[in-house]
Amino acid sequence: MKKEKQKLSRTQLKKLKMKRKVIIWGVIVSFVLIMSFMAPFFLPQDPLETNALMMRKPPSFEHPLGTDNLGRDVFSRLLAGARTSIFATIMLVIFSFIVGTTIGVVCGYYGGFLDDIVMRFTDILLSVPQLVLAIAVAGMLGGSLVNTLIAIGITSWTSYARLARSHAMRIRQLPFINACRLTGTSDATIIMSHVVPNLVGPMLVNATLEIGSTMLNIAGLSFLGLGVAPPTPEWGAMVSESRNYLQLAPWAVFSPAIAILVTVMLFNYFGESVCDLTNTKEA
Amino acid sequence: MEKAKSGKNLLEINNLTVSYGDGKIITEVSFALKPGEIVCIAGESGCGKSTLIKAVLGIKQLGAIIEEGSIVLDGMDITRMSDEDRRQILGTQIGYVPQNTRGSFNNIRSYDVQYQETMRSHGLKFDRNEAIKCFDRLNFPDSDKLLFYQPWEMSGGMNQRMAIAQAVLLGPKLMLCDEATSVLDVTSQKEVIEELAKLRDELGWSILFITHNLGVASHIADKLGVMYAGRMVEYGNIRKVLDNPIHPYTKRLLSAIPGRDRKLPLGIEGRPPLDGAEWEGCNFVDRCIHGGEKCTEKMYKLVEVEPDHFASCMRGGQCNDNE
Amino acid sequence: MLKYSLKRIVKLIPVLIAITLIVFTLMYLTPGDPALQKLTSQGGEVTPELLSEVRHEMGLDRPFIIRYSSWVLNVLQGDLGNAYTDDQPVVPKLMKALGYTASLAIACTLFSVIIAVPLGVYTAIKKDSLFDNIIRIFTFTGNAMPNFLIALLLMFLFCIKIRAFPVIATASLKGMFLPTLALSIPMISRFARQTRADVMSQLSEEYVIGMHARGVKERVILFRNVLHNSAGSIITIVSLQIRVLIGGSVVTEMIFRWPGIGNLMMNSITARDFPVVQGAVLILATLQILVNLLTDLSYFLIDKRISLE
Repeated sequence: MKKEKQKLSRTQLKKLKMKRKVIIWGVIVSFVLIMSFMAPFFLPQDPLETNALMMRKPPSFEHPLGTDNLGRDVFSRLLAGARTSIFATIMLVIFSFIVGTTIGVVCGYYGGFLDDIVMRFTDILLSVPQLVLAIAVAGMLGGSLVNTLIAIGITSWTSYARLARSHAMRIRQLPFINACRLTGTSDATIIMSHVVPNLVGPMLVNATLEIGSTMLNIAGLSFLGLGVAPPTPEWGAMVSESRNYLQLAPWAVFSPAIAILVTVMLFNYFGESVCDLTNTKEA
Repeated sequence: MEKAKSGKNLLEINNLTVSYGDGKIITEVSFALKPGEIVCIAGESGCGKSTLIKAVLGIKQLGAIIEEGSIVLDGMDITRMSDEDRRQILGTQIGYVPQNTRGSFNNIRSYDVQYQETMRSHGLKFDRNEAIKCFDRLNFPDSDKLLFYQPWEMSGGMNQRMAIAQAVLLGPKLMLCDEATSVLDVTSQKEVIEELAKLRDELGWSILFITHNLGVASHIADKLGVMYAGRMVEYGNIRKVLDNPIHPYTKRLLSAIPGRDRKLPLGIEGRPPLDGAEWEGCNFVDRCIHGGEKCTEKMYKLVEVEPDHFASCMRGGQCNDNE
Repeated sequence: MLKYSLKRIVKLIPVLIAITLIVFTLMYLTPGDPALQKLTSQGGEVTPELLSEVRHEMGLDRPFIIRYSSWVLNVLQGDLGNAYTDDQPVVPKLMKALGYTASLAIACTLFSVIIAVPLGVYTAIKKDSLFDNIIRIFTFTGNAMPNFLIALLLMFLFCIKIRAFPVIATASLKGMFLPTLALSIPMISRFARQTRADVMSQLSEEYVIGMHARGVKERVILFRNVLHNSAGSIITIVSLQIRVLIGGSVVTEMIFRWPGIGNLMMNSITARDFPVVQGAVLILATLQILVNLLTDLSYFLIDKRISLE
């Protein structure tokens, strides 16, 4: 009896610890999200205001992260850019999630010819270097934030579609789905009230894991000058604009780059803690 | 490496207490194996019979920790050995066939390379012809091609037999079989059992055979030990134990073999206590039809009830089992 | 083996067709008149007569399917058209750049694998040790690093602070060092994490105990068996990451001005020289497909069960 108690408390403790981790990272991530959304209202200085007298000044009290090549305050631009950088990422993940899951569920549930065609197509998209295709698309469409998101979105839905498809195929074969069919429930009802609720959990976990890499892809494209048009502040673009002055104003280059790194790490930590928790639930 | 007094026994297990770090799993188990002898240890899952094998193997990854007592192999105390010394006796002096038929070999590499690696690890030469000769001796089908197969291409029974053939090449004196036939179908089970019995006769192997199948045990064993919740409750010559069981648990275990008389076996009410190995007195008392206060007060002791037959029942088996 | 390889190669044909279709459609859908772009990028006066003449010459007045098939026929003969800017054939330019990109990619893959696999194995054996924890922090950070951050950081340290390397990478072995390192750091992080996870799951397999029980040497168990069985998933992650690597090489080549395909592609995008961009995408995609093929074939060497699929 003693031993059983010990064992129970040990696994419970582990789970509790994981839950706490998810909550802590969740709070931090939500804090960052709220901050990035609110930041444009609390800017210490105008992120667009150039100042010929204050070009490439190192960090000081007035400019905590220094100024860039046009004398703009890097800290203010960083805050102003957070919204664009983070929300572009979230939007893209949500978009890929919805499109990918819908396609995946339909393919997985119905199977057949449509499924074959769509899965072959994802195979092909997966065998092309994603960023190269995105660069070409964005480059040919012309650089803008929307075009960048389209360019990455062309391939990013595929991984969601494949995952959703495999879940839908598994759920379709469960006995209770058959029971539903026998009672005459329509496919649409079965999909909406049984299939989707059963796969949305693991799909969301996957989506949180994808936030980091999506952000890196967007940052890469906007670094190449294919994202927002200047002078709009955006982290990848800020690095790109300042990199020719790396020697003279490294702070203007590294501040936004490190902001990207830290944000991606936060999202990755959050994603991993969620993933760990759901894995222990199943075990 | 002290020489034990009785050189006659191949394996001596003295007062062995084993844990996995916290609670005891087996307590004060003692028995011995003579050369050429087959000892079966029976009991339901969780009684500690596999832990016993793990303790004898002593591989650190298995996690079994010997708290008290000793294991003496051929006069050499192997209770506490360095990892490297241990590695050298494993295989060459102690052979092992696990329950899992995929548990001996890497599933996706050929037997050939794996046999080779094993022999070379012990500084022995690997000769393919010798291996084929060994397969022939064990009547393996397709003996000349067998080495170039990979385990996943083979049946479970064949994998167990390949593990036995590997042991023949290494030449240990002691074989440990942990439920080696439990997952096999009846035909393969018979093949493996007969092979082991034959090798005992020809090579003088001693075999410690763990099983929950008393039918298998009665077929090959010389001695039978019955374990319950970490304790050896009955031990002795297999005929004596089977014909004249003393401990109420053994009696019930024997009655649990489905008979041909179309009667359902008598089950045993309840479950064994999880911390049974920690109890000082009889730990079967909760499920025993005769159990009473007295049984938990007295210390556990294995008593010789007749020559070559020991049992731990506090009542000395002096109770009638007729409900 | 032969049958399996043939099957894999045959499976590539629709993929290749689809890729040409994607690449061509990309060009087709690009806003703007290619003839106009060609004329403007070459400079000089553009008259309506000249424009319609060039349009006809480029076949722009023909329907999509005919343009596509003639383009594919040309591609099969190794002709990817002429660049807008200098009206020179695209293929030699791409081939020259491909050599640079391929050597960078190969160097980076080799370097990453050589560093990451032993690191992954060691951290798996010494799970939760101090060393493992330190490496975990490094790999976690490396995994989250944008390519340009590493490249610029290396450039700042080695070219500006220490001045060990020139800012513009010379097309030499020394010049290759920084781009390789920049591309390798995220790769090493991902490979090491994957190797650690795979080796750990292999170590918990029962055959490992079986081998210990036969007294097989630890070294043999680890390097001949555990690593062999993990190799499949290590190769998978390597091939998946080569996609990322090829993408990342565009950024890195641009920063270090390494004369590879990525750099060529970015310059051509800026110059709106789309035949070069088109060719670059086609070549990089083909490179990727070849890597995928090699990956599939190497699975067979590790685990023969694959041929039964």
